[in-house]
Amino acid sequence: MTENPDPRARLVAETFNDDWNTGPGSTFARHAAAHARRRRAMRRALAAGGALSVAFAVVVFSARFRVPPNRPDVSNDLPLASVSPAFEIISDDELMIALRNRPLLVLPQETGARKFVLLDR
Amino acid sequence: MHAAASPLNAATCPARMEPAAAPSALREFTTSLARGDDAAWAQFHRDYGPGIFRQLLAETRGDHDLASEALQQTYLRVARHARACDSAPMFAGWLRVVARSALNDCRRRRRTFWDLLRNRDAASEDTADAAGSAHEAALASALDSALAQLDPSDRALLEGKYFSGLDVRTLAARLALSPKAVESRLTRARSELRRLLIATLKRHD
Repeated sequence: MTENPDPRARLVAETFNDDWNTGPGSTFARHAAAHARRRRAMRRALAAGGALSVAFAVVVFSARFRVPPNRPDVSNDLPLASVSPAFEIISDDELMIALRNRPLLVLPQETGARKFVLLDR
Repeated sequence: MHAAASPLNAATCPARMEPAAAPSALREFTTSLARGDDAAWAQFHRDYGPGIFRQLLAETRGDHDLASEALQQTYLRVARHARACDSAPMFAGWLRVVARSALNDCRRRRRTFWDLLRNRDAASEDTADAAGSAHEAALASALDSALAQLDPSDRALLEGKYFSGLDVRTLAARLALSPKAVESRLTRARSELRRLLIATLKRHD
């Protein structure tokens, strides 16, 4: 990527550091590289932590200030009769008690349904 | 390549901090630096480190310990603040500012309270650039002077390695020596150059 450095600079550097490429200076460079990596990792961790904090804050705020959904307005003034069913389901025993040994006539209808008629006196 | 191939006229040339780089390659390189990539940092030390060290050595007037301390601080600041950059001159300028700032902080830590009071009228940031350039010119001049005082064979060896770009094997073949012997002579020559350079800088002071 680069050409060689200025030869005079290299001469000066190697005059004061015989082993420029492997000596203490290169240790500085390795330390600097490690320093850069640590800073980068820390920056990333901070960015991730910041993003998480923001997301958490958004969730908390949205939960706190959420508008409750519209519920159907149930009025207590409605008459009970209007909500009571038109039929009642009873057990076999209750049916037998209600019949009290009276005869029951079953009439088939045109629609296929059957009509029950209690033959009472 | 450039004027440094001729050491004696280099003092008149502006000091070069940065190796040239294509914008996209520089962006990739600076991004790798910011990422803390070991290979990029080794390359940074190899290609940009000597220029930074020369600037620091010039501004400390040859104080190797202070320059080394400031170099370490400079690297840490580059690691802390490096961002993707497309412009080589901008990156080089930024490096110079970072190095100067690191050096100032190192000096401040070393100074006593009374030193700080004495130097409260120190040069402003605007004049620091001019002073830095003057110091670099002084270092270049001192380097030329020290090279001129070296034994001719040592000087030829250093010039062959650093200004002509010859490797140790080629030098060894030219001098009919073993590569190890050439390495040894290079070490001695650099040591002598260092002694002369420091003496010259102190004399200038």
